[in-house]
Amino acid sequence: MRVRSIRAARRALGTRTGRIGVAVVTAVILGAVFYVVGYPKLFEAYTGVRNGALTYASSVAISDAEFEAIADRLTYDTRFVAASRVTADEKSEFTRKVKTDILMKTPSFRRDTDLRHIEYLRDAGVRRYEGPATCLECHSTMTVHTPDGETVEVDTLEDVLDSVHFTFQRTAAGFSTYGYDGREVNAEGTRPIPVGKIDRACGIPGSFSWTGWAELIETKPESAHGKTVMRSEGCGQCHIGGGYHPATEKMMPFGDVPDVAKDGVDCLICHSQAYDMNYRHVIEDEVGTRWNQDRSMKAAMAVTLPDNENCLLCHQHNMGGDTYEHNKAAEALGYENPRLLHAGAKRANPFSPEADVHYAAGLQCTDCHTPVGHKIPRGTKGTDLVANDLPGVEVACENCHTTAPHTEGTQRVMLNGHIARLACETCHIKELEPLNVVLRDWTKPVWNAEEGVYTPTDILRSGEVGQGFDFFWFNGAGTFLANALGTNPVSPDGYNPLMERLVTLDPDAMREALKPALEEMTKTHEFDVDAYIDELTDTLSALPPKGVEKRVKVIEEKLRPLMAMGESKITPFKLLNARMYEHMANEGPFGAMILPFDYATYYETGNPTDAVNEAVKNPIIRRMYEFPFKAYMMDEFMAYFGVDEWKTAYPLQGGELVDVEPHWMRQTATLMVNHGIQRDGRQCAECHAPDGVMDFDALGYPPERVADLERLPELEAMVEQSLAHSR
Amino acid sequence: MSAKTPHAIRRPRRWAIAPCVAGAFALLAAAPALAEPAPECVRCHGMSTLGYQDRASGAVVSLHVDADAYSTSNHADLDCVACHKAQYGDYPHADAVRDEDLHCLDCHTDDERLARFKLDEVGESFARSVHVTRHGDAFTCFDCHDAHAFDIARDRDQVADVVLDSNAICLNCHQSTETVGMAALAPTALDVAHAWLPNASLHRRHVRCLDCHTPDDPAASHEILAAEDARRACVDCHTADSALLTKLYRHRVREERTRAGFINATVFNDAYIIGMTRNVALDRASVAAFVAALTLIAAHAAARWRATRKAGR
Amino acid sequence: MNRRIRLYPFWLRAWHWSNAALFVALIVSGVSLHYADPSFPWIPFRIARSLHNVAGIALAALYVAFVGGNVLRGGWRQYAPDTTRLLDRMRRQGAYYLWGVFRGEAHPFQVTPSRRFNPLQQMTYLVVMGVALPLLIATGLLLLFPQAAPERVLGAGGVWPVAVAHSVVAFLLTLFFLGHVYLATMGASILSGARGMITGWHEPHEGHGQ
Repeated sequence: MRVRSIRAARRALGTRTGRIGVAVVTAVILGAVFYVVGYPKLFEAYTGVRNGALTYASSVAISDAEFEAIADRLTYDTRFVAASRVTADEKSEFTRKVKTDILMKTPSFRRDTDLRHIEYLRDAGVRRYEGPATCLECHSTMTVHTPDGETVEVDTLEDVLDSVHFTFQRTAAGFSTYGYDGREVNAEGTRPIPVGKIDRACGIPGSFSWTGWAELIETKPESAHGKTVMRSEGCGQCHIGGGYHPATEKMMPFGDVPDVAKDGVDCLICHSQAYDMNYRHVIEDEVGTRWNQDRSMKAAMAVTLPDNENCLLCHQHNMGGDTYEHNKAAEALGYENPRLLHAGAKRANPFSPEADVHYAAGLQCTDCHTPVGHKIPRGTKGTDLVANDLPGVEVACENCHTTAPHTEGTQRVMLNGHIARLACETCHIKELEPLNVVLRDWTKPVWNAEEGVYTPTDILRSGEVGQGFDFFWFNGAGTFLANALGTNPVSPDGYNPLMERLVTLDPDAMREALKPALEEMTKTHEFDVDAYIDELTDTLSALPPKGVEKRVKVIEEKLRPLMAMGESKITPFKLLNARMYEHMANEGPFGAMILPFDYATYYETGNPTDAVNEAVKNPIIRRMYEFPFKAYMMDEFMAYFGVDEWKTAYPLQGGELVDVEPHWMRQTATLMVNHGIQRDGRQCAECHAPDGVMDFDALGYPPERVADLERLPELEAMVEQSLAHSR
Repeated sequence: MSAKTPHAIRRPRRWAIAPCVAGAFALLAAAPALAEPAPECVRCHGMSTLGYQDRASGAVVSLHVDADAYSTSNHADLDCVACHKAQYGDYPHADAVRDEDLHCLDCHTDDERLARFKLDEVGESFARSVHVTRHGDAFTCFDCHDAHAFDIARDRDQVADVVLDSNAICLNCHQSTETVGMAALAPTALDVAHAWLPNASLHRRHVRCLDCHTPDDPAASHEILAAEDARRACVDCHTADSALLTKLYRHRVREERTRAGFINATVFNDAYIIGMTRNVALDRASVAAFVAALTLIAAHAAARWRATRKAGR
Repeated sequence: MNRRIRLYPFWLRAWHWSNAALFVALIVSGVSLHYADPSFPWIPFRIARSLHNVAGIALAALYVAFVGGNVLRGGWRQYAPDTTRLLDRMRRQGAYYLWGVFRGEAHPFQVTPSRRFNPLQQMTYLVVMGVALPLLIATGLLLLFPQAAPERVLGAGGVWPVAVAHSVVAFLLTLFFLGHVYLATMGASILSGARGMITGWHEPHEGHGQ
């Protein structure tokens, strides 16, 4: 038998097809071996990122006795918090205490409240939490109900690794963002590229998160009297992957995150009621720096479905801000190397019981952002090019409210009428937190004595309408650099924010508003204040005349049709501009390629060009300026940016930055604000008045309509009527 | 009349129904002048979301008037105040305006120009409709017909569009979960009620609800029949002399019957209706071929029989 | 004594008679649907429709089984035409049907297990089983699921051409059915064809098979 098969094989080899077959099989086997063994090494060598086994000091085994002690404590605390929530309205403190006690002893209350994983883990004999491995023992797969009404069984870990919470980018369509070339990002007719976070409040826009993933900063705070204190900083603090770099493998055309990196997924930061943010700080080991996690048994025993507090451990950072007074995560900065807080807020519309009517009403984040497995929808509207797990799924007021949501008062019909033209947020977000960063100058850092670091100068922070945020027509889509797209349905031609409101500011008003910040800056930096004001208040002055011409052409030809899409409503947007270093070789009519900062250099020396110099040395930035990256994504990226092609001239020549200049963005960015919803909206006369908060002229209404809207005869009649009634 | 029902604001008395249609027809005689409703009204009533959630029914009541639709409707050259005569000077308007009683007959009594539309028949048949016998005065013609957009002259090239428009009126209530009192006919219930009907969704897209839910008599066009009285015999429509010819296709039969070859050519362009759509030439050819085949066989068999008999001998 | 030949395996006979029964049901219900008339209710519309649907689906399933059976058991070879002097052989077979049979001429075709069909038969069956029946089934399925039919064809409703094709092909197959039944009586005896299809044994014509 054996002899026969050998003979058959020999015969097969004799034929041409046989030889080709053998060659193909050999090639496939060799390819597979290379993919598993060689490619990851090659990948690390090429990108400069490193992977290694991830261990966490907080992951320790405990004894049965310790388990029970923690269980008792957790159970008591959970019951107490839940019971106190119920009895919170009780006026007498004593009665409240008695009621709370009774409730905590009530069997049905305990049944609904108690942490069920304590029992599961006790029975399973789990005495040490070892990250995803422990969770997956029971949860290797999970049942997911898709928006189409299907029920599917998915691999839990893969589901997490595919989610934006892990990858924080997507190489697929589903962005409500359009390039300045008129194409929808990653839609049909494009070459899909990985994109996910272009966030310009940060000196480290998303695509550069490699240069500031997990950083240790030497600070010299006043309180330490000359001693240095190590602090943690970097994008990794908010991302669930615990590796030494963002999931770089996920943005490449092939290859997967290595298994050692998969062990770094932080399940508990979303799923534990007892996650200790003091464990979230940067640690350094032989491979590099990365973010620590709470892998204590205590946190594991407190596992539940995520609630608002879980989400807000990270997301209050971008909504309320790090220094927002009700930011819980900011109360636990770290047992070691405590995290540095960012002083200005990205959106400044907090989601908290104090600031948001929905939170106060007991709603959960997941009520609106309803998860499908580990994929969480952001909604279909947006300007900011942030990746979305479930692009088609609507997250909107109308999902719950009717088309006639105002149910009280004589004006309810009129208020409902406004919905055709106004987003709900227009009236129901009356102000943002004062921490809101509007103008941030990264190029002129100032010394922050309290923290002992140099920080970028927020020359304007404001939560007021007209300064910190303003109203724009919005059809749900945005440009590549976060400008709301939309048009005035009454007079489309009269509205062109990209040549008007988003590029000019009133110099006199600015001079006045910026006075304190400018004084502070002139102490550290020598510069011509008048020229600075001119540059800031007319951002197009940075463009050559040809550039302005091209800009006008692009707006008329490419953007006008996009502005006219769908139904536009007047919508409030947080305003933001930042002065950063740009590489002028890649400049277009809407700006030039921004360069990142190295956090440690920036914070410690206050020398922004040295910080840029250091960051640009990062291997992956160097790769960006080479052909494979140009072909893979950068040409396409620049096309969206309004630039014909990606120039691979590396900005660092002989150790010096070449062709690098500080500039404001050519246009103010407009970022959606949707949280911090206030119950009582604006009153008629707040907008419908000659000096109202809404600039009808800037919204493109013709003059006679502006005059009309500012003095509505109906409104005057209403006022008279109400006066008559009160008389 | 109660002020609580959602449609109270534009509710006529029942006997005023026919003339409301009449009002529309009246304008057909003259070329409809393009006009827009008064700008001071459109300022608010032009807002597409102007409305409120009715406290009794929970339904959202729209107070929007589509100025574009109005300007091409049969009422286009009427001012708003030609019909709405109550006190509208206050903002927001006093609650009393909701009780304003609009009567189509106020404008159109004994109008000779409308005689050919037999509006008395419309009124009478409506009075017999299940809507009125079940809901009484609460049901008005405005529940189906929008006086602000009514356009009898609107020409529809495609039967499918006629069906869509007509059925949209019915489904507006019979498929809406918001409408109180219709809960029994909420979406699934509507499907359950038509479960007996093969290819129900296909039927819904290609014939009007009215084609089964009104009697055969053309004078009873507004007599909506309840489920138990409605047509259920497939063969009423699925036959050469289909009921559809006097209903959905009524206006097309005359013009198209003369066209070559096809009985019921009226639907030639739109649908194939089993039993109704027949091609005369094909049908005749098939019968002829059938007869010819049988004759041939018979002849052959006869010849064979004779041959065997001869051989046997 | 003529030697009988084992010609039709059991599965083939089962298929043949089920097919025949379904065909009759489809013709009757189909005609009833096409000429539906309330004043002459042959079969009630609703019953005719159900009967037609059920029988149609069953026929389609049987067709698939038939094709499968033929592929597996090699029956397809019966349908592969032998092109050598095909026209001439077809002419001779036709001539036999048209006058040879009346003169008591010998049957020009000798049935063997490897070649059951005479050339005329073979060509007819090839068209019937290879073209007409698939077309009938395809159009029938489209009528059963009209949402799958094209929305519009050349400006007219998409169901319309499908329906016309279905009835035309169905009518042609009905004609074939008549001819087939009649030609089955032209065996050794009037009923020997039918008997052969029941028992599986072919009775050769007299004067042959020695």
